[in-house]
Amino acid sequence: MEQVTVALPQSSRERIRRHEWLTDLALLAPGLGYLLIFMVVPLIQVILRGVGLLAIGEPSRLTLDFYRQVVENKILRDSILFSLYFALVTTAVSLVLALIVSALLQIQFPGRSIISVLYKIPLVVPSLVAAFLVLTIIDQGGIIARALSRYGIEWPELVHDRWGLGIIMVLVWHNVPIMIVILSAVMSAIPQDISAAARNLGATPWQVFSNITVPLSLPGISAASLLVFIGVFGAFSIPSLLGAPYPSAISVIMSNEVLERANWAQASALGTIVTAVSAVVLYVYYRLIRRQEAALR
Amino acid sequence: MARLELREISKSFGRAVAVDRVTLEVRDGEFLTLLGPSGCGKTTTLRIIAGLIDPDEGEVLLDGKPMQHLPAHRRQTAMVFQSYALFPHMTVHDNIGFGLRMRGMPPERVGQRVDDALALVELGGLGDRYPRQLSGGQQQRVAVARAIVTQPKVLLFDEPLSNLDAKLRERLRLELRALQQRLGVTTVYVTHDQAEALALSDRVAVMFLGRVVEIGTPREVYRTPRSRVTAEFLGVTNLLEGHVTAVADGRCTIQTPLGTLEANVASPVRTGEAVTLSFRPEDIRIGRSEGHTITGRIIHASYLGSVTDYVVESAGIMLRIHDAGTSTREAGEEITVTLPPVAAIVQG
Repeated sequence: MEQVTVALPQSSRERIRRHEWLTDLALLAPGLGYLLIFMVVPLIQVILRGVGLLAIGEPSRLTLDFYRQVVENKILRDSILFSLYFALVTTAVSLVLALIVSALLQIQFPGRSIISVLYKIPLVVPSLVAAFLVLTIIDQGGIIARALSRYGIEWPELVHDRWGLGIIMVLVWHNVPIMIVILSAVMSAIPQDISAAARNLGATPWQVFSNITVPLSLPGISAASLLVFIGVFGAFSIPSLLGAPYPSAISVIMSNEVLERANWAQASALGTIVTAVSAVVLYVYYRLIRRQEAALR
Repeated sequence: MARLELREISKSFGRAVAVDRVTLEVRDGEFLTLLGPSGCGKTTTLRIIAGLIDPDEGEVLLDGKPMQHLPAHRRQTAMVFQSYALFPHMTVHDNIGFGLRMRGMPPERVGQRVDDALALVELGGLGDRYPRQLSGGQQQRVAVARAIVTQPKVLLFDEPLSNLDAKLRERLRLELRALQQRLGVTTVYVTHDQAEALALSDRVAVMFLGRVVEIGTPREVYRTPRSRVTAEFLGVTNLLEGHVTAVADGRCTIQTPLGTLEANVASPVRTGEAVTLSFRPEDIRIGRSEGHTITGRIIHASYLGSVTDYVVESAGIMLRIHDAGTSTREAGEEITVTLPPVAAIVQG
């Protein structure tokens, strides 16, 4: 068939190109616009406020004073360390519990279906409700403490304590199911023949778990740990309700800076630090997961 | 020494009976194949031996000692899986050494044994590779090495060659047999491929609907099958209905629509009894020869390379004939064929 080429004048071609560009932009607008307005703009605002720009109620000036405050002020420094502490402990404890439950859910035993429903309950209970549950059960004036006091046994301080045990307990309670959902999915994707081969070659159930199940679940383990860590590191409601007066979680300090002292700049500097730490964790995760996936492919 | 016995093993999954009162004995150093179609219970039987599935009834004995109470990791059996089931996160070296490490062997000895096993399956130098970096045939060899390195009392194979192409399958089949003979280890092999079963085994146990219907040497189950299932499953066969007219000296005469034929008597038969005869397509000769001769018309002819497969109609009965001769006959041609002097009586 003969091919016919029609040469368009330069101006028409430019008009068509501009038109196409506008169409692309219009099509991308709902998705990109959402990201831009609700994610990028607030983030830039926070970053700029943290260095003294876009100030509210005072003149804007570029300064690192608010970050210097974080380094010099023990209260702020301790709040970051405290948040890191309970985020790491919550992630580690949740991971251990979730690994055990997920591994058990892979085998058939009586009552398995009940357990697989029960463990999901915390997913539908708001963390504030969970915090009140913990308060009524394990607080010094709670059910256990009152029951034990009859026998003269003193119940230790587990809520509003310096070590954040109450905070960790509720956060673990809330995050274990999320981890189990992820880990169970990953573990059930491991071919049964692989575990059967390991058992057949002389591995005890524990050896199968540690040598086969855990290494092959690493992508799920890292994803679940990352999700929990980032969520817990910036958690507000539970640390504010169950935390001790000192040290406070970083999110509680940020809230106080804004609500009690109207110090948006200091809160923004702290917010930037929380975001940066989470971003670093996310970066490390992606580096890790790329290696793991390459090894398992 | 390792003699394996299965006594009245049964296993059901819900309402489906997978294994139905299977009794077997595998002699020391013997290569026994469980042969049967998909879903006949052969893999379930193998997994029961390995301890990966608990039977509902019956017991498994090794050297006369019951193994039922032993968990899978203490059974001293090693299995090669259909999927190979290599550990994807471990190198070939770590895969093969896994069983030894789990038994607490020191790393130096593990290394030595793994190197020996790699040499045995001709994979020396590939120890640092991951399973995904190997071809199907190489993965299969790693799976075999991983099983034999633990020096098991019983080796179990679950259709280990079914994922390979025909040529490689044939080569590895020979290698597997040579390796098993060299090691002298008692072996149970599961397959649905009759050629594989005949080529590899000392004895073949034919399974159907969860039961062992027949057990014998490859020659016995192929040449003189006792059951119709065996005759039909092992290659192509001609089945012919008839009545016993005389029984004498371990042989009987049978009147069939194609004339009078003779058969060996494997189980007692009475005069007048209705029986089914089985004989192989390659046992029928085209032309006149010693035996009963009939005439028929070629319905279909297909050239298979080593033989030509004819479908011949005679007295309303379709016969399959495999002729190794070089001359080709066309469909519609009238031919004279000689039936085998002795056929086998099959039950069922």
